[in-house]
This record gives sequence, C-alpha cells and structure tokens, in this order.
Amino acid sequence: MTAAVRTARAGEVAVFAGLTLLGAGAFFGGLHYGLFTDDGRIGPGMMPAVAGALLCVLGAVLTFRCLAGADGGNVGTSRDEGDGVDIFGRTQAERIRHLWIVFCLLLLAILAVAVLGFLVAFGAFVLVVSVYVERRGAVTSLAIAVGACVVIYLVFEMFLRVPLPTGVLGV
Amino acid sequence: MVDNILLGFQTALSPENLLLCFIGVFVGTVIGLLPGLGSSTGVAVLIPLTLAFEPVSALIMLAGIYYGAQYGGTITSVLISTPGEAASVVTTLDGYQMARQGRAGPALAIAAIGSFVAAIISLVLLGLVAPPMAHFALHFGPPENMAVMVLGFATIISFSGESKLKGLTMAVLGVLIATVGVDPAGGTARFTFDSVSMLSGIPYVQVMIGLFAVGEVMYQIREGAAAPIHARFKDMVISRADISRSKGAILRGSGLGFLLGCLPGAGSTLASFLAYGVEKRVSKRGHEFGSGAIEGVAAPESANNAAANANFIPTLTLGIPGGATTAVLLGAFTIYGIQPGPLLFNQQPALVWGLLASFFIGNVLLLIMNLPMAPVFAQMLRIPYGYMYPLILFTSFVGAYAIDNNFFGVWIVFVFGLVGYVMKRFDLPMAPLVLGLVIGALFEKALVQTSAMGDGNVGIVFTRPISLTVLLLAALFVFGPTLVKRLRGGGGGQPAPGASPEKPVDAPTDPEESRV
Repeated sequence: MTAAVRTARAGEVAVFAGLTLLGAGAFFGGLHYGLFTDDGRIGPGMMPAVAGALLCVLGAVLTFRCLAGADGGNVGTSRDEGDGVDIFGRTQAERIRHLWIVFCLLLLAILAVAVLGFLVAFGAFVLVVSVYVERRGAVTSLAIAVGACVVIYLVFEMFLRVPLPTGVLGV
Repeated sequence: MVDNILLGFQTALSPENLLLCFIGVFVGTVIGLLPGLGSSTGVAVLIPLTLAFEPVSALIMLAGIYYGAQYGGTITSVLISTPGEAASVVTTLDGYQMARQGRAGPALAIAAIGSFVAAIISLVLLGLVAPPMAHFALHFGPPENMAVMVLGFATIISFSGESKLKGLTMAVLGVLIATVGVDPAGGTARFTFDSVSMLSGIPYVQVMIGLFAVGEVMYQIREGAAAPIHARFKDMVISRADISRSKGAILRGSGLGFLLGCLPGAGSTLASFLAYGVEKRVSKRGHEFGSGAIEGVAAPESANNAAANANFIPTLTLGIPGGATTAVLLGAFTIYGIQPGPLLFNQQPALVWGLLASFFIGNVLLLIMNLPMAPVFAQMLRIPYGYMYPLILFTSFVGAYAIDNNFFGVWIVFVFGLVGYVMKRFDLPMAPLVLGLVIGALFEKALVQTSAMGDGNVGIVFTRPISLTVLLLAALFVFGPTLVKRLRGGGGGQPAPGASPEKPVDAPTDPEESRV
C-alpha cells in the first residue's frame, strides 16, 4: 500500500468516524428535545434521536469495516498513486493544489460579495480562476468574466428581477 | 367528454394562447437551465407578468413554464450533472454517465420523448379519472402518506449499488439534515444554533446544487482536464434501438408517476426515485443502471412529467396542491379569482379543459423544440471543462441566491459543495442523501400526524387497508428480489461485461469516464 493510498484510507476512516460522532451528537440532541410529548405523542426529538442513533451505528460499522480493510477499496486508485497526468501535463499534486486554490477563491468571492457586490465578486472569481488556475490569456479571461457578468445581469436582474446584492461600485 | 376536449382545444389553439404557451415552454426551458431555478421559482417569479392576461391565457403560460422548466432541468442534469430540481436528481445517475460516454444526445432525446409520452398518457388519464382519483386521494390521510414515504425509503437500495450500507448511511444523513429547523409537532427549534435562517431548515435545492454542481466541479478539478468529448454526430442522435429499449420504462414510469402525482404532497421527486427503483428491478439490464443505461433516464423523466400533470388532479378538483409548483399555481388561481374545487370542472369547463389541452400542445412544442436541439445541446460538451467550470460555479451560486433572495443559500451551497466533493472522493452515493432529505421532512410530518391520530399509537398504520397495502409493497420491494433469488436457487442476473458490482450507482464505472 503506497503512502497516497494510506492517506486516502485515513481520510475515509476520518469521514466515517465523523459521521459516527455526528450521529451520536444528534442522538443526544434528540433526547434533549424529548422523544414524546406530555400526552404520549411523537415529540420533536424522536426523528433526530432515531436518525442519529442509526447514523452512529452505521458510521461505526463503516469505520470498522474500513479499518479492517473490508471497505474503502474504491479510493486510492491509480490517480492517487501519482500516475495521473492530465492533457495539460498537470500532476496529481498540482491538481490537488488547484482544487484548494479554487475552493479558497470561492470562499473569498463569497466573502467579497458584501463589499464588491455579487456580479463583481464572482466576475473577479471567474477572471482569477481563468488566468491563474487555467492559464488562459488575460484578454480571453477578461472577455469570459465580463460576458458572464453581462449574461447573469440580463437574466437575473433584468428578466427575473432578482435584486442581486450590490457593492461599493453600485453594481 | 368529447365536447369538453374540443372546447379545450378550441381555447388552447387560439393564436394568443398558442403564442403564450410557446413563450411559457421556452422561458421555462431557459429557467430550468439555471441551477436552482426550478419550475416553482420560475412560476412564482413570472406570475406578476401574467396579471394583465385573461385567466386561462395566464394559466396556460404558467403551466408552460412549469413543464418547460422541468425539461430545462433535465438538460443540465445530463450535461453537467446539475439537477435543476429534486425530481431531476435521478436523471443525473445515468444521464450524466451517458453524456460522459458521448451519448448526451440520446439521453436528452429520450427524456423529451419520455416526457411527451408521459404527458399524453397522464393527460388522457387526467381527463378520464380526475374526479374519482381526487376522491380516492381524499382517503389518503397521514398513515397512508407515511406508508408512501416508507415505500420511497425502500427505493434507497436501488441507488446504492452493492454498497447498500453506504447508501443507507447517506439516506439516514439526509433524514437527519431534514430535522434541522422548527419541528412539525410543537414548533421546537432543533439544531438551529440560534440562527434565524436555520429555523426554516436546510433548503434542499441549495443542498442539491452544492452536492451535484459544486461537488462535481471540485472532483473534476482533482481528476484533471481531459480532452473534450468529440462524439460523432450519429452518436448524438437517438436510434431506434434506444427507443425500443426505453418503451417499457416510459410506460411504467408514466403509470407510476401518474399514480403518485395524484396524491397531494407525494410529488414528482418521489415518483422519479420510485420509477428508477422499479425499473432497475424489472429491467433485463438492471445491472447496467448507474453506468449509462438509457432506461435509467427514460423511467424517471417519464415519471416526473406524468406526476407533474397528475399534480393538477388534487389541485384542480380539491384545491389541495399536489406539489410545490402547483401550490404556487394555486396562488395564481386565487389571484385570477378562480376557486379550485370539485365544481370547477362544471363551472369553468373552458378554463379547465383549455388548460388541459394546453398541456398537450405545450408538450408537443417541447418535443418539436427539443428533439432536434438535443444533439445541439450535447455539443456543449465539446467546450473544454476549464472554460465551463468557473461559469458553472458562478451560475450555481447566483441561482442559489435567487431562489429566495437570501444569502444563507449561498453558504449552504458552499458547505455542501465541500460535502459533495468528499462524497465523490470516497464513493458515497449522493442520491440517497437527497432522497432522505426530501422525504425525511414529509415522513416526520406524516409520523407526527399519525401519532396524533392514534393518540400516540403509530401502529394504526397497520390497521388501515391502503397504508397496509403500501407497506406490503415496500416490503416486497426490499425483500422480493432476494426471495425470488432464493426460490430460484441463488440464480441472478449476470453482470454486464465491465460492470463492477462493487460500485455505487452514481460512481463512474471507470475513472477515465469521469474525466472531461
């Protein structure tokens, strides 16, 4: 088992263990809300408690199966072992870095909506992703970003009358 | 009856109504293409534009938006794995896999054909049995609704491949997420962490956008860019063999969709999930489901369209909305001064039958528009993914915001985008989570009401003939195949060459296939 596969397996165990804990939390939360009402009917805590208990048990079973090697055979396949170079010559490590860059840019764009407005923040997101992640030319990227903003503005603001949040630029 | 139908067509075929019907299906298709903006949002947003029209004309246009949006949602489900609404989630399973194999054209075409046939079948049934079906639906109290939800849960097995444990876990997670917010019994706020936005629960449309659209994009970035799909044009056009394979699926999906659509609240989503599950059970190619089986597109698409039409039965005859969109349409009825109810068919025949005839005309228009357009839409996949994904993310987040003009939805999409990525990374099936999320809330409501009906005894569900029958059907659905297999001495269908029995259905059969 390579290091990449081991990492993937550890990730899977973490996910299943997380589900187990989530289930346990929901179960106790359900108990707190009350399983039955005073007159013996189903109470607000019944569904969370039952679903939580089930999730806890199922998550635990999946965790143990994964630890025992009976499950989780679907992760850590060829690409995790470093042979997956895409048509642009990007290695696995580069692609994972791009993934987290896009996630961070997305988070920044969402946070920037309050200041820049929806269209400008996400237009900037499209521009930055095109230029820095996809390595497109600045002019092409700018054209894509502006075009996307115009189409979104026409469809959502003008046609559907959705009041998209505006920012310091007034758009 | 014949007079009424003729009257209906006379009304619907007037130049003005025909034009409005066309505008409705066209605008509906465009709205359906936008992530998050399903038929209910589309209809709600456009009601103000119809206030100047005659009631029948306005309703014809709004109904056009309704089924146009459903088809628009199918296009994005197939091409970019982004369902427009919950009823299209199932279509992504095989539709997206077909697109990955260069067969987006046939997938879109069979969706259009299936929707058309379902619309015609359900329209005929609607005209024939609307009043008796409405009265039958009145026998559906909370215990019966609860039993129907149990039947819905029974289909989870169909969406989990051989990894049933993972499917079940995801469904339970979906149910748990559905418990966030104010409980249906006494109004207790659960797991809201003092957030006002969380009081109304986690919105499932935004969850869907996050899981499918954002999760898929993130997974594709990780998998890496591959060459765009260059399918031959003849592969983009549906063949006779495809249609022949899908006939049974379309008919079964239509019947099932109509039955479930008649029930208030059951809706198109449950119909599409059940139709897929049933088809997987009865089809000779059940083992191909999840890896690009055309029946896996035909059945749910037929079912959700039939259910959409059948939704009008409780809406028109009882004044009880069959689903979210018909609830909005019911509001439109009130705005136009129309009172739905048992007498509507007699008091306003031109309006009712004109509306029903417009369904037929609208579906013909959709077929004419979309059959030739299917290969054209499919050409979208020739665009390199590097150009497409920033735009998919942009429209997904704007769409999530536009649903209720609330920024909370944007955060939900982001968080569930991360969840969707993790689920794809670890081969956790998404469809059961969506099913659990959608049905969970309905199930809890029915459970609480059943408990109230039985003074705390939910066992009354076993004492009522309809609910008992539905529960037996659910048991048959779960245990039937195993029993049949045992009775036959352990025989079973042979897996398809290359099909991995260990894969959940919404996992690609080959890692290469998931690359764009």
